[in-house]
Amino acid sequence: MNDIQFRNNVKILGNYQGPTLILAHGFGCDQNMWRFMVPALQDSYKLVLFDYVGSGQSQLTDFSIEKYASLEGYAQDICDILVEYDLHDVTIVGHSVSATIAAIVSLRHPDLIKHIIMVCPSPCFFNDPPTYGGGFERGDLEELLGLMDKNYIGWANYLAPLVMGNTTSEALIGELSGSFCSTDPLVAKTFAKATFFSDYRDILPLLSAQTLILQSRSDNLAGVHIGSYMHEQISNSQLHIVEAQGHCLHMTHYADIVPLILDFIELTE
Amino acid sequence: MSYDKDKLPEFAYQWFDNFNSGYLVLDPNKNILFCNRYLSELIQLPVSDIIDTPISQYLTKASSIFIETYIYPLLLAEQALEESQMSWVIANGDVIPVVANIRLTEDGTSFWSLYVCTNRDKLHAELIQTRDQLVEQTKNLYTLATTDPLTGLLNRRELLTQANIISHQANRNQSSYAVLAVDVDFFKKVNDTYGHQAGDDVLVALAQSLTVNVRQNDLVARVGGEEFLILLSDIQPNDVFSIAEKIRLNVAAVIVHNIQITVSIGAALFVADTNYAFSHIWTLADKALYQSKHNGRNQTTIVTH
Repeated sequence: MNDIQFRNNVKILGNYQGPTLILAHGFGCDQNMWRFMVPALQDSYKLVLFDYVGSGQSQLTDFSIEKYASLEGYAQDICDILVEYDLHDVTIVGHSVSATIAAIVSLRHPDLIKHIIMVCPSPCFFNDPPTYGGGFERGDLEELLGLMDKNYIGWANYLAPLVMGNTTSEALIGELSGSFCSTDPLVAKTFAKATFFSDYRDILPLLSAQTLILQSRSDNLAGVHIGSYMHEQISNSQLHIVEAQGHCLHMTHYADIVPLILDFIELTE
Repeated sequence: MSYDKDKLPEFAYQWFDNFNSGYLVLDPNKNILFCNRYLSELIQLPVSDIIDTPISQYLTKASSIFIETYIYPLLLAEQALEESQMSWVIANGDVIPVVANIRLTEDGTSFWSLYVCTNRDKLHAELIQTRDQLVEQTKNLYTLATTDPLTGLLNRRELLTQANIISHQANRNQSSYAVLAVDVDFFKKVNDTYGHQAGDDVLVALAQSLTVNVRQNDLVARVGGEEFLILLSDIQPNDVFSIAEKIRLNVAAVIVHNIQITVSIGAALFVADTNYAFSHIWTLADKALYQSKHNGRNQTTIVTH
C-alpha cells in the first residue's frame, strides 16, 4: 500500500479501462456519501474514492491545522492522488465545498482535469453586500462552529486539543465513534472554518474545465441564485436545477443526477 | 404513508400531548407533518400554525446548515442518530437549545423526539470555555517548557528530545545530519565592557541570525550562556562546511549597539550506517569547536566520526 493510499484511504473500483471519476466528499462526512451513486457509475468508469485527511478512515496522524486551515490543503490531497495514481482525463465530482476544492485542483492541473461536476456548490457562504448573497452572516457561521463543538464530538476526544506539541498526532488517533460523519472535533472545526469562512469567487472566471453545476430547487445552504452566479462566472459551465429539497442530491436524488452527469461527460468530450 | 390526524384515536394525541418532551414528524422535504403540545408551547404557536411549515422556520441559520451538512447525511447513511443539539428560534425571537434523537424511515419521513436542554447547554458552554482556556494555558506552558526565554530558541531539554527523534529517523532512513556547536568568541568581554543588557541584546540578534540562515526543519537551540547548537537534518555531507561558514560570516555581519561579535563553530556529521547516538555526534562537534577556538577563533572546524 502506498503512502497516499493509506493516508487518504483511497479506494479504486469500477471499470479500470473506463475514464476516471474522482468522487470528492463534502464537509463533515466521508467517501461513504457516494455509496448510492457508485453502483450506477462503476460499470463505465474507473472510480476513485478517498477521504480527506481528518475525515473517515484517513490517517489522522497526517492532519495538521496549518495545512488544512485552507481549502488549498484539501486540494493538495487530491493533487497527490492525481500524481500517485498517474491519473489523466479526470472528472472530479465534488459535493458542496469539494466543488470549490475541485476548482482549485483544476487550476493546478488544467491538463489533467477535463470535467468538474459540482453538486450543491457555493464558492462563498457569507453575504457580501450589495453584490453577493452567500446566505449567511458571519455571526451565523460563528454559531455553527459553536454548534459543532456541541455535536461533532468523538466524545472520547473532547479534550484532545489539550494535548499539544509532539503528542498531538498521537492524541488524534484516539477512538472515533462508528458514525461515518463523526470526526475529531479539532479536525471538524478546522474543516468547517476552511469551508464556511472562505471566499473563492475570484477563481471561478479562471476555470477552463467543462463544468456541470447541479443545484437543488430548495437548498438552505446553497440556493439556486448561487448556482446561477457560478454559471455566470464559469465560462464552460452548464447549470441544472434539480427539483429537490436539501443539500445532498447525491444521496437523496442520485437516480436523477447520475444520468445528468453521464450525459454531460459524454456530450462535452 | 399518511399521518392524517383523523386516523389515530383521539386518546393517542392526548397521550402525546402529555409527554414532557417534543414529538415531531417531518416529510422528506423537512416540512412538519405532526407536532405535539410540548413543541407548540415551546415555539409559542398553535399546532395548526406549525403543521405544513418547514422546520427551518424554527431553527437558527447555523442549525439549518448543521441539519443539511451533518444530520441529514448521517440519517441517510445510518437511518438514526442520537443526542444532536441544535438551536430553535421561538415566536418571541429567543433562541433555545434543543437536543434531538431522530429516526429516518425508508420513504424519507423522519421522526424526532426533542427536549429543551438549557441547563446542559450552560454546562457545555462552561466546559468548552474551560477547555479553550486549558488549551491556551497548555500552549503557553509548552512554550515555557521548551524554549529559551531570552532568544525564543529551543532550550537544551527540547533540543535533546527533538534531536534524538531526528537521530533515530536518520538511523532508520539511512540519511545524514550534522551538528554545529556554535560559541560566541570572547563573550565575557562583551558583558564586562557593555553590560549584561547589551550582552543579552547581542545574544538575541545572534539567535535571529542563526535562525534565518537555516532551513525551517533544522533545529536551533541555546544550550548554554553563549553556546548554541544547530542540527541540520537530512543534509548532504559535502554541504555542511559551506553552510557552517555561511552562518559564521553572517554572524560576523551582525552589529548591535556598535558591538561586533564573531563565533567559532565545530561541526560533526552523522552519516548513515554508523549508528552513533546524537550525544556522540554532539561530543564530536564540541571537540571540533574546541579546535576552532584553539586555532584562533572565528572559524569552522569539521570532523566526521
